[in-house]
Amino acid sequence: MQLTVTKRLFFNYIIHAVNVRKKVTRSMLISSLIYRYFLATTCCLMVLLFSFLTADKVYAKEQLSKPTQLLPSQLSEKFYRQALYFYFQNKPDEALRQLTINQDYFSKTPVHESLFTAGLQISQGLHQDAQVLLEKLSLTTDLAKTSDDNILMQKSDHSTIESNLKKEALKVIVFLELAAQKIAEQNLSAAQTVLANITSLPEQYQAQYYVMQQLIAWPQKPDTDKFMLDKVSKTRLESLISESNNGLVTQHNSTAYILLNEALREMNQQEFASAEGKLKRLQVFTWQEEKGNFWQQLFADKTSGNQLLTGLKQLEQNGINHYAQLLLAQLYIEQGLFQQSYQQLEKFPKDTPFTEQALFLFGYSAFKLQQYNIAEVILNTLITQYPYANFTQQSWVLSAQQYTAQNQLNKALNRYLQIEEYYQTKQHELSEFSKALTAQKDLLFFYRALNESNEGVEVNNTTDKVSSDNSINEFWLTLSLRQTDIANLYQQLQSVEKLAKQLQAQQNKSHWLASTIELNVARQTTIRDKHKSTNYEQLLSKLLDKKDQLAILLGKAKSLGDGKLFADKTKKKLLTRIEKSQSALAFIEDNSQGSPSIQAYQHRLSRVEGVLAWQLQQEFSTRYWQTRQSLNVLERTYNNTLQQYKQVDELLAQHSPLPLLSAKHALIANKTTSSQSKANQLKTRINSKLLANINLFIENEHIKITEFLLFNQRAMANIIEKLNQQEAL
Amino acid sequence: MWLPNERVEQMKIKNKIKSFSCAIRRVITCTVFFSTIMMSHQALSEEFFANETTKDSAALKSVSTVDNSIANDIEQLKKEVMTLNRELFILEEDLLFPASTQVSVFVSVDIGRFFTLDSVELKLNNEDVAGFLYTKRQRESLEQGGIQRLFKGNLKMGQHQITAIFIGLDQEQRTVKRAITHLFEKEDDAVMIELKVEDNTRNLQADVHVEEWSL
Repeated sequence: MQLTVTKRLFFNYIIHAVNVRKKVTRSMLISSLIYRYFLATTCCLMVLLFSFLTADKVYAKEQLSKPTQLLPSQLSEKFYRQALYFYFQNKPDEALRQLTINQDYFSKTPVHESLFTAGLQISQGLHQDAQVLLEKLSLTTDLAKTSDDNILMQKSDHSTIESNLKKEALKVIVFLELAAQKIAEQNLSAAQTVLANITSLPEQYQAQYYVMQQLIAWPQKPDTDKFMLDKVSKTRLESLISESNNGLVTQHNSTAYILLNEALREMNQQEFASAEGKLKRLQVFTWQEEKGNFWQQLFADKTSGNQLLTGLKQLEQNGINHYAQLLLAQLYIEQGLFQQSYQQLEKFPKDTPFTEQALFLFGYSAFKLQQYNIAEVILNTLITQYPYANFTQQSWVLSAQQYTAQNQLNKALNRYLQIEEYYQTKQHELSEFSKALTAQKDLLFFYRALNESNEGVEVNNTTDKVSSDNSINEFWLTLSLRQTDIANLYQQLQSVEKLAKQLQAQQNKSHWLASTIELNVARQTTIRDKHKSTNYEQLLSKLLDKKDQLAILLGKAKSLGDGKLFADKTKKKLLTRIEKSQSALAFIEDNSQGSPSIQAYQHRLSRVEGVLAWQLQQEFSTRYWQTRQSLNVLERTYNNTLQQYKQVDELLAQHSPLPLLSAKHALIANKTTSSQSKANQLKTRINSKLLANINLFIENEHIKITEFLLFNQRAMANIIEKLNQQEAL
Repeated sequence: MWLPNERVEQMKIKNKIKSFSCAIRRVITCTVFFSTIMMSHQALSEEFFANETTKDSAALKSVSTVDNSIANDIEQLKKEVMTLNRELFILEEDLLFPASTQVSVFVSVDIGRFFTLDSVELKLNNEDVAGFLYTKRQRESLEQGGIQRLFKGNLKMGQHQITAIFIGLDQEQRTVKRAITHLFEKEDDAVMIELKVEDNTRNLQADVHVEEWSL
């Protein structure tokens, strides 16, 4: 874009210049100035244009710098940042591994790194380790705090106070997350113990802390006197509780949950007036913008990632609003105020997770208000569209009751017959489910099948029409998974399965490492054998001889300057031949009394010799240089070979790390096998426990359905009796 | 109030609510609330039922409570797996990259305002040894303070040269390159070199600096 603008400017200038040149005739001076101006401007623009053009191209800069040596404390931070990178890449296990390796390298672990480790341990389900680490950390930070306090007395360093406060807040977050996971596991006493570690509570975590206390104390009200908080935190928390009881505090979103919990508790205690006020406030509750910090995101559930989207916040707010509305309707029904509950549910939105419940309550209210047409439509919707919902069987019964109330006895009887068929189908399905379950030893099979068939659909979707036997089994399994104990066991089974897979992967890696060690040992043995079998000393002495010969040759050549010294094979042959010929000629001359032909031969021979000598002399300097180079190369080769020989000798004499690594590997391999067998045992144990619990669930369901069938048959008998009475009349 | 053909849409919203509920820390609270409402409605329905039926549900068998020993065993197994993983990693490193020959190159980015990292090429003694193309997430990980191990290899003792070429975009989204050459001496200990891409506020450009770590 910028380039286009520049080009346009450039062309504008050219056009301008052309116009100027047209006015040359008016004034030579002006023309000259303008021309110079044009030239200068064009040059500047050309430079500018060039710079713009090159700006798009690559700009490379080469530097040569000296390295900076780091202190160990700085290095520890660098290693910690490597773990951070893994964490950001959604590899918490690798981050944790990196942190444990760091702890081996450095004797002192900074508090923030320990907190990070604890957080990762919690996210990986290593609660015991996290707890131990946090307890250790509490002690060390308390000590550090006292020493810091002393320093602060002297220096009043503001940044140190801030840093301590941050660390304290981080500690609170980690404890809160650990407590949250303990509550999720239904281990309330453990959660209480974890929360007892929090003594100082930063303002932003007060609501969260109190919500957890509410969950632990449920259905009682938490006793603030038993909280292990310091005076300041306790006072602040008490004021927050009283504020949230009097009116909704929207500063922290968690206060909505405090209020909701309180309303539920009051409903439970039949304190309807107070609960009603709270629910009405929650019905119009609006969410405040609240940004979770890095640590909160870190220790939160893995699925949270790093994104808390506003749209989802809105959904959560709607969830709270709708839930409060539903509770309000229920509260009215419990008090027999059906008109109010009807009004509440009349405007209940359809797209909520509570639609089924709302529909049923709405139908029930309409029935109680004798608005039979509406009740019929609603109950029929539940029966036809939600055949597997929680409230379907109640809807069937309510529908039959409605017909009875309307004195439509035939319709009522028909409905009771349908209900009987419905219950019988359910019992049959349950029996089939039980059979399929007994036939299948690996219970994860059902869960996998469920996931595969419900791709993208929620797992506990119980209301879709179930057609095949497999889907029916999945439905009952899903229903059974609503039981906390069964759901927990399923989760545990999945965890063990995941661990077994990890162990398998580790074993594969271990095999690969074993073969690598083996290869290295073999390679080392081959080198050792070759080293022993080869007579390196002889080879070296040969090289030395060759080197000496060359050195002598060069010495001679330098002193004599004779080209014959560097004669090649052919020329050496010629030289020998000339020599032989000369001796032959000398012999003939001695015996033949001065023949003129001999002299001519001698003459010719010395001419040939002269030419040969001249040729050799011409090549002398080149040959001398080449030989000198060869000697240098030979010298280098000799030295390198000698050095390498010594090095190999030294290396072979050294203690090889391979046996140690091999021993380590054997230990790891043993541990892996032992862990694998543990995993298998655990899997079998969980499987059998799970199977027992699901069977118990099936048994209970059978009992319930039998009860319902009995009730149904009794109701049917009453209707038949009434019909008989009518007929008799 | 309710149209059957909108069932799918409703399920989508329900899924969203669920995934969101899982995404936040208050998931437990939500779950407890949701299950409470389910329970309370069930109770209401059963109460309604109880008026009609004479039989109570005392015949139902109670399920066993949560088994903590299994949870403890799983945690123990998790710990063992993690320890084994760490030991294998160290063994692999000791075997393939012993300290006497090990050389590692790391990349870090400070702020990244003037340079959006796109890729890096690494040469060791004029030979290409590593290249990396960054995704948005990886770039952000670096900008948030993470340090990436770009290369790990083996080298003989002596003097060596490393060259890194960083390719990215400047503030005006033009492709730019930043390169650095560094000479280093390999001795008995492992060599760790950090390539730091840092913003230079004076010329509003990014520079690459080298930092050598020593244990």
